[in-house]
Amino acid sequence: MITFPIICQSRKKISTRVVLVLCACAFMGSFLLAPVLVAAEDPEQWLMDMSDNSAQLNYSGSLVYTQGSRMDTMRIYHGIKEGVQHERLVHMNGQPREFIRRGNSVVYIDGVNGVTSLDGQARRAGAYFSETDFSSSYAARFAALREPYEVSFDGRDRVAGREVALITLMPKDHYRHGFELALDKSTKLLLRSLMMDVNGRVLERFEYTQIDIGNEIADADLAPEVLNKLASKPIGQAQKAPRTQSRQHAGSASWHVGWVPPAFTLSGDARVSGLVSGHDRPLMYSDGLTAFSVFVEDNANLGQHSRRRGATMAHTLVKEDKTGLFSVTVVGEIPLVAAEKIANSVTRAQVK
Amino acid sequence: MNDQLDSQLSALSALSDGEMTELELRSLLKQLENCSDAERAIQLQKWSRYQLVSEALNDERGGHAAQPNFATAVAEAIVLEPSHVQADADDSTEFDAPGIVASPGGAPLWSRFAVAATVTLAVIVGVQQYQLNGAALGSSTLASDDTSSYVTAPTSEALAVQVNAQPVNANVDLASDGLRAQERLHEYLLEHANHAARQNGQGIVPFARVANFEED
Repeated sequence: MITFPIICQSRKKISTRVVLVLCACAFMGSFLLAPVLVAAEDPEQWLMDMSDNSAQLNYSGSLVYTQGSRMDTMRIYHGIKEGVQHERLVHMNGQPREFIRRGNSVVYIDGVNGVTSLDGQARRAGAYFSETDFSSSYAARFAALREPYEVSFDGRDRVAGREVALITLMPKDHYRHGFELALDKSTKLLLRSLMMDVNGRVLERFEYTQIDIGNEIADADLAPEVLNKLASKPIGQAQKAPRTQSRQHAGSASWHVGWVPPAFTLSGDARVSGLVSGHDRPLMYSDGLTAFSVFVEDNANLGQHSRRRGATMAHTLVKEDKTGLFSVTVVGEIPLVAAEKIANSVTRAQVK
Repeated sequence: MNDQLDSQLSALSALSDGEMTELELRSLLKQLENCSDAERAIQLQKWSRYQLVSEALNDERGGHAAQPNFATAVAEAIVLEPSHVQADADDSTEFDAPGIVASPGGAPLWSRFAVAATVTLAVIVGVQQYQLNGAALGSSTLASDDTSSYVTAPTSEALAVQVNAQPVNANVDLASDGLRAQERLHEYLLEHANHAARQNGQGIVPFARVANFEED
């Protein structure tokens, strides 16, 4: 009789302990199993959802952009107005400057150059973008990411107070950089992006410190502020900033890029028409995540140089053939070794 | 005209003191591009003098510039130094001259001083020549002044010609070439950002790179 209460108390203690142990195991197991649960999904699907939702959702936030020792803070606003995407990226430090987007048209405004219409500039140079480029489906490109990258989930984290899933894209060659992307678990929006070189050194980071998703964006937040300070024309009448002479055209000459890194394909109209060269217009390539552009001019006015800021490389090479001198500039978020090889491969092809 | 010249001289002084913003620098470069050759030459001379003064005030030459006869004075002092006993008999064949012996483990001490003095003199003369030629007046790092660069076109469609990329008109309008090159690079960066924004599903974010690239 005396032992029975003792046994009951002991059983209670044991039961309590067992319950506590089981709870602790379940708690820890949730962390261990979470990557597995996320990994059951396809990271490429997450990236497709990322691109779709970034075009369809309203959101605004503050973000930090770092390249090496430099850090810039920005505000971004994205809203859908009458079915048209409106977007604004404004720098909060340094010289006042901002990018304004309406549908597929983009203008850049700063205190030095005033208002620059990028679509007008691009068309002067001969580049062509289809009307659906900004909102086009990236399904085909993201599905092919496994060719140049090792794509995988890499755990969870928190960014701007929101839970995110980490996706790493490790390059399979040394002609591109690696990425770690943090996508919001609820909306798949990209909240943090790290670009790393072959040594794992972070070349570029952009990260939201605060984000508001789903609420209507006020028209005032999508309107340019720098424009008001410049007392310039309304955005609908963006002027072309004639800072430089128009590029010299080499008559009927076209340019051929003899080598590009694996998995990079030509973008835009030239790709559709099967052309591999352009008549003095930039040739633009992308592997779905990384892009570079090739600019060719039939003069040597730019000299020769390589310049890199964070992840962006600008490499100019002067070449000579029987026709004369011409300069090739490769701009993109690619390593110097890739930019050099691309520039070296460019030749002039006379069109008969 | 004189007012403009005075304002440009004031701007050059500010440039030498590191008190000029990037906007002011660009404005100054544009003014220099548009003025006459004679005025530009005056400005460059003034700037080189300002640089010398600035360096002297900031002690950037490590105290004071060496005197023109520095190397000669060092050589004479070395000759007047008493000689030392030779330490290694194996080196005696190289150092037969009386009073001149090899310092332990290497060339004779006087030759080392001579080399150091020669190098010092060459550096001083080179710096003076560099400044007198008015180089680096806010010139962009994009200007073509790399005489060691090569030029090739290695394909079957073009002749492979290898020539030294001599800087054409290197001492004329260097600032304006650099400015044009920088403006052209700015255009390229914007076009590339426009392209990247349409290709990687991140919307307008690639444009964040553009402004950072310019601010060096």
